[in-house]
Amino acid sequence: MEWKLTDSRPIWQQLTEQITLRILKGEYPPGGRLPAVRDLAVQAGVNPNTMQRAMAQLEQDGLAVGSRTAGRAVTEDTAVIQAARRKRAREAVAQCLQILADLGYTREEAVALLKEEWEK
Amino acid sequence: MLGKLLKYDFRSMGKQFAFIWPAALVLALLNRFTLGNIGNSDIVRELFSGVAMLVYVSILIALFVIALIFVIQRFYKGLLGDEGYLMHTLPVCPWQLIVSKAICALAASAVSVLVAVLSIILLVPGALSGMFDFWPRFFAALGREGFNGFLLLVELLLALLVSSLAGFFQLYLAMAIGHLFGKNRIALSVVAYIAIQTVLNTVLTVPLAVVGEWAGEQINRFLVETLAGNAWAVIHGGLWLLILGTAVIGAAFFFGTEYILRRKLNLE
Amino acid sequence: MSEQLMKTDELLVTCTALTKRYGSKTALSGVNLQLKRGRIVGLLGPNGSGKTTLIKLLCGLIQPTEGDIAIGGMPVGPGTKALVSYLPDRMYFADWMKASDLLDLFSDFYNDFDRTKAAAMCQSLGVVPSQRLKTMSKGTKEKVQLILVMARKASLYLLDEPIAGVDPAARDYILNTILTNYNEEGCVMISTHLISDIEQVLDEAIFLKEGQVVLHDSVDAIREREGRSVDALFREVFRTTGMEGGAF
Repeated sequence: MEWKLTDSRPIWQQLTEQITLRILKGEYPPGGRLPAVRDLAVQAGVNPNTMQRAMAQLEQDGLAVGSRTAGRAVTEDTAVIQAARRKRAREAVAQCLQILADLGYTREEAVALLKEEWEK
Repeated sequence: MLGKLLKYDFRSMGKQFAFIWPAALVLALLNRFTLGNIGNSDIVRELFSGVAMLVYVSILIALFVIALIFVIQRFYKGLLGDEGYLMHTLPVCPWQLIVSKAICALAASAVSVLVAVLSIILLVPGALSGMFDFWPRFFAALGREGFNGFLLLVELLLALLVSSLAGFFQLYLAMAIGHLFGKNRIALSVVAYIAIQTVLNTVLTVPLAVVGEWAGEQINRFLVETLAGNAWAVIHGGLWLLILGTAVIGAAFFFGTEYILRRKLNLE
Repeated sequence: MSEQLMKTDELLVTCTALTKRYGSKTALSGVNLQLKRGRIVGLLGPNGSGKTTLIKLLCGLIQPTEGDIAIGGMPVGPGTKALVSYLPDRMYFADWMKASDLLDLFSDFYNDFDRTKAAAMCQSLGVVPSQRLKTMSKGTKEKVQLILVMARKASLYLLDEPIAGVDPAARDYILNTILTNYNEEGCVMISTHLISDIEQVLDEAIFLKEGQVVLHDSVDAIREREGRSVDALFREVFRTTGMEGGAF
C-alpha cells in the first residue's frame, strides 16, 4: 500500500490514520511486529520524528504496544482492534449517509442502493 | 593535518607533471644522438635533428611555463575557486592550506630545475664528466684558508629557498587580494601584484641604497685587501642580510594571505 | 528508533544578529536563529532571499559583516568544520580526481566519515569509485557529493538546494538517501524553494525573505494553526515576489 500524505492536516495525524487502517485490515496482524520507526519513515518518505509521533498516538489509542528500544508490536488485545474497526466503519457510514441525505435519498432508497452496490 | 594536505597536493602535482618531466628527459636523450646530424649533408637527417632540437627546447620552455602556471593555479583554483568549497570546509587552519600549497610549489619548481639540469647532462656528451672534473676543483677551492665554502653553499641555497618562497607568497597575496572583489578577480589580482611590487620597491629604495653603498665600500676594500680572511665575513654578512630581509618580506606576504583567508574569505 | 533521540534536543547552532553585506547589497540582515539537534529543518525562500549566504556563513566560506555564530558552542573554525557536513550548490572537485580519491580524502580528514557506508552507498546508487570525475555525468557527480556528505556522522548537515533541477526519480533517491543515512543526533538543514517536494520530511520550517527570518516554527504547528500546508503558506507569504512555479 502506498502512503498518501496529501491534505493539509499535520502529517503525523495522516500517518496515524494510515497505519491504523493497515492494522484494521490485518496487514499488520494482532501481536505482529511493527517495522522500526526509521524504516517506516524512509518508506513513507517522512521525517522519523513525525513517524515517531504517529506511533506514539497508536500507543495511546492502544493499538500498538512495546517500547521504543525493543520495538513495537500490534496489540494482542483483539477487542481493542475490533472497537477501532467498528469506530472507523461507523465514521465511514455516517459520512456516506450524510451525502445521501444531501442528495435527497430516503432511508429505503439508501438501503436498497447499498444492497445493490454490495452485490455487484 | 598538514601531512594529509600535502598528500593530495603532491598527487595533483604528479598528475600535472606526469608527461612533461619524462618527456624533457627522453627528448634530451634523443637529441644526444641526433645532435651530430646538424650540418649533415643528408637533408632528411639534418631536418630531423633540427626538429628534434626544436621540440626539446619547446618542451624545456613549456616545463617552466607549466611550473609557473601550476604554482598560480593550484592556489587560485584550489583555494579561491570551486575547489575552495571543499578545501575551506575541511577541519584545517588556513595557514596549513597555504603552507601545503607553498611546499608543493617549491617541490614542483625544484624538480623542474633538476629535470632541466639532468636533461642537459643527458643531452651533452661529456657534460657529466666535465662536472666530475669541476667539482673536485670546486671543493678544493672551498677548503682554502679563510674561505668557508660549505657555509657559502648553504647560504646560497638558503637565499634561493627563501626568495622562492617569498615569490610564491607574493603571488598568493596578490590573488587573495584580488578575490576580495566581486568581479574581475583575475585582472584585479594582477593589479594587486603590480601594486605590491611597487610598494615594495618604494619602501626598499632607501634601505637598498644604504646597503648598496655599504656593499660597494666593502667590495672596494675586498679588492684592496684581496682575499684576506675577514673579507669573506663581509660576503657572508651580505648574504645573511639578503636572506633575512627576504624572509621578513616573505613572512609579511604569508601573514597577509593567511589573514585574508582566515578573516575575509569570500567564496562565491 | 533509539532512546538517544530524546536526548537530542540540545541546542546546536546559535546565530545572533547575523548580518552579511556585499558592498551596498544586504544579503542577510539581523538574523537570530537557534537550531537543535535531532531536527530536519527546511530553509525556505525564493532565490536571492539569503539561503546560500546563511549556509556559507555557517560553513565559514564567507565571513559575517556583523553578528555571531556558534556551532556546538564554538565560533566557526576548524573545530566547527569537523562537525559540519556541507553539500554545496556546485561541484567542488579537482578534475584529476577519481571518486575513490575523494573517499580517501574524506576518510583522511573527517573522523566521522564511514568509508564502508560510503562504499555501500556507491554501490546502491550505481557510482563506480574507480571512475574519473571528469568523465562522469552531472547526475553521477551529484550522487558522489551526496554520498560524501551523507556518509558522515555529522552534527550539522547543511544541504544547499539538493533537489533543485532534478527529475522526480532523482528527487526521491536524494531524499531517501538523506533520510536513510543522516545522524539522528545531528541537525539537517535543507535549503530549497521547492517546498512541496520536501515538506513531509521536515520538522521545522524557516522562511527567509529578503535576508530576514519571517517565520521559524514546527511544520505540524504551522499546519495546525494555519489549517493548510507549509507550501500553501509559503506561496502566500512570497506571493508578491513572483517566485518560480508561480503563485496561484
